[in-house]
Amino acid sequence: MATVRLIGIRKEFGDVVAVDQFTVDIADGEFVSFLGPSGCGKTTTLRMIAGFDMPTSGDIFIGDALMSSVERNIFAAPEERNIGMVFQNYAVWPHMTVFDNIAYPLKIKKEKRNIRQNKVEQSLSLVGLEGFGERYPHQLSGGQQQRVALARALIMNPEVMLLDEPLSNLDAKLREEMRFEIKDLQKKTEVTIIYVTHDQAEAMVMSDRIVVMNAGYIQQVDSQRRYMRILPISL
Amino acid sequence: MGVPALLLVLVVAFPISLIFVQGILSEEGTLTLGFLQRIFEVRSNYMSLMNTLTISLLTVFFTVLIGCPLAWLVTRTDMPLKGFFKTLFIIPYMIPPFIGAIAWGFLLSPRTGFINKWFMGLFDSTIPLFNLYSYWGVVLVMSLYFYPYVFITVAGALERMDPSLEEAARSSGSGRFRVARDITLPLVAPSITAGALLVFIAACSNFGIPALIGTEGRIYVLTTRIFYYIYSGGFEGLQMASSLSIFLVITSALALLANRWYLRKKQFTIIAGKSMRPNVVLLGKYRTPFFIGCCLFIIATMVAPLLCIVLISLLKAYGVAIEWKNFTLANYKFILFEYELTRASIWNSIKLSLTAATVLTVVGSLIAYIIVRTKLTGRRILEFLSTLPYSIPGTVLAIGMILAFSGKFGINLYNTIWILLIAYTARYMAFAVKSVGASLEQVHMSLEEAARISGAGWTKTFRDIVVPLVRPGLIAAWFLGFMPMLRELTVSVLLFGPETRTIGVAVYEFQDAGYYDSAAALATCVLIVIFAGNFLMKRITGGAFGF
Repeated sequence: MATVRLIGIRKEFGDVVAVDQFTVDIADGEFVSFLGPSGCGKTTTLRMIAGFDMPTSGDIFIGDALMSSVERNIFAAPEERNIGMVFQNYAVWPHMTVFDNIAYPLKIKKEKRNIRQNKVEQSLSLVGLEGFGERYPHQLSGGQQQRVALARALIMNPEVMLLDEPLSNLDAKLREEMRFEIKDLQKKTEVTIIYVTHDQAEAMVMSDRIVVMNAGYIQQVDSQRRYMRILPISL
Repeated sequence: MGVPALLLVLVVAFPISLIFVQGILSEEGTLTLGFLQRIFEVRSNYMSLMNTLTISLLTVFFTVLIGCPLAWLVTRTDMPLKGFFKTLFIIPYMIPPFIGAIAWGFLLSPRTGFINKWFMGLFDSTIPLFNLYSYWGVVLVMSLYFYPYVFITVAGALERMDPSLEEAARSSGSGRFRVARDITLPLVAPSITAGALLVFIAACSNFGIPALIGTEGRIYVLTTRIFYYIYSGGFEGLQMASSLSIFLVITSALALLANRWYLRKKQFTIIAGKSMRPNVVLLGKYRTPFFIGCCLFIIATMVAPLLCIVLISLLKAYGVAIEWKNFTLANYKFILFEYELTRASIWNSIKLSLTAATVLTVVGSLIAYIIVRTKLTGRRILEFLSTLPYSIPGTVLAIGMILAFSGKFGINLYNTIWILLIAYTARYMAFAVKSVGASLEQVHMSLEEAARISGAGWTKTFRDIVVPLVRPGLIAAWFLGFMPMLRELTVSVLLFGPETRTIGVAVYEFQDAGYYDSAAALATCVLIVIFAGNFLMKRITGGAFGF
């Protein structure tokens, strides 16, 4: 588990400034939400932490390791960052079984077969999918696919988990359920979570702190309790 | 339902089933397995079957080898001008293969080809660099004209693939190449297979390339062998041709079935709902070399052969030096204004294409309407019959036409323009049914129901509501039929009569008889019409059809 520090992050796409002056310190084991309307730069920030986009300027630390710094010409590839990520559309690989999907990160790490087997079984039960290992993604519901994505992200014991609007494709009832499950998973694993959402209620229920973003800037960083008090600012 | 169904049975089901009947019936009308005997006991027939299979498989191999990297370059890298290249790489798809064969003949014919002459002069040798009129020559030209099938399907898959599938693998700890092997390749594999099977079918069915390149080197495939038998004439020839046709049908049908089976097994979708930007690989220091490589590929495989045709069409005689004093427009004057035979063929092709395109648009829309909008039983059979003539090789369709309409059953259309008209209409019906059907599916049923509520009958609704709404589909259907008909060769070459030559046949005959300058001039005219027509189609349909 690790802290995440973003220092003065700026990202330009051509002439458009997507994110600017983004500085935030996230503590070990903390659950932080990036909250804001679509196009406010929250997903872009998340992708820079993951290593899919390179900041135009600024530094990113995970733990004590400098992952990205334009000034010092450092940029760690996504696969070198030990970050778990859950995508909005699950990104569960359709050509692999549930078991193979979840086991993939272990395969990359060249874990032994029996260890892989055990760990996958464990994480299947962690996300409540016991006995689903041999199924293919198209045989699963949206919620079940989302659990596969969660299990896959958690299995390599990442230092940080990034979740990009993971619940936005689920129906309302399932969304409620999954909020608690994700929160529960975090308690069990004590992983640091950065959670992107445009849903205020979701952010408030789940987070320790909320980073409110608008038009590429941070408007407010507050604990969930204080955020609630100042709530009537418009989003 | 009744009229189009009857029509399809008469011009599609009946002729095609006759081929099989002809194959298993002896002259006295008893049942035999003679068609097997005729293939396996005549060595040259057996060889043509083997050549068809091996040439098609080699072509598949090379088209995959060319098509996949090019698709990757234009969809997933930061190569300069990749949008422009994407259009360029599709051009061979528009060029009739027999014209491509002629062009490559000008470049690589063993004695007179430009490249070989230059090579032999350079090294003072009598051995050409590459003899086009050979087994490998057929494979080369087929590969260069059929790779767009692979290119288009693979580029489409790479573009539409959800980038987060690959990103998830990166986050899981795989490097770039591992992701390509574990995720990207398996997900694109169904598209590669689909493209490869299209190539296989196209290569099996092609007549122009083996006729103009293979025949010269005594390499026969099924299509050219069938052509040979029809030319040798008589009952014997027709029977041989039908027997070979059965094998041609079986070969392409097996490929189609394999495709279905494979796609059913790989039942997953990689297409994400929303538009997205794919992961782009920065080529870095390799950016310029890749760019130059693509430019060279375009120059060598498209610019050079096409330029060669135009050049030869402008020379006083084939083989004279390329100097200003040898340039002339006489070849064009000859084929367009002086020579009665070409003038008649141009006129025939225009008449045929205009009529057949119109007929197939009307009939095709009716069939499309029945398939998409009604619940009539048997509409699946209608769909099958309307797409069948394009799914089978043109050669087979033509043999079916000969068997059905040469007097044996009371109708004798052989050597008339009517048999060509029927064959053309049947052949390209699938285009009309597909493009109008696709447009119809976009129009919600309630729009028609609203018209019915307002008091319009079925005919009025069709005319006032359906037709205007599917207009782009109708225009596309007409063009998609008209353009390939104008330069059709495979079917025409088996069905034309002394009075009913078409443009494709005229080009073929010129080239075959060694009138290269006239062949080049007529081919240039065809190319100009094709490019102009494509441009026009793209304009009229607002970019929905055409390249």
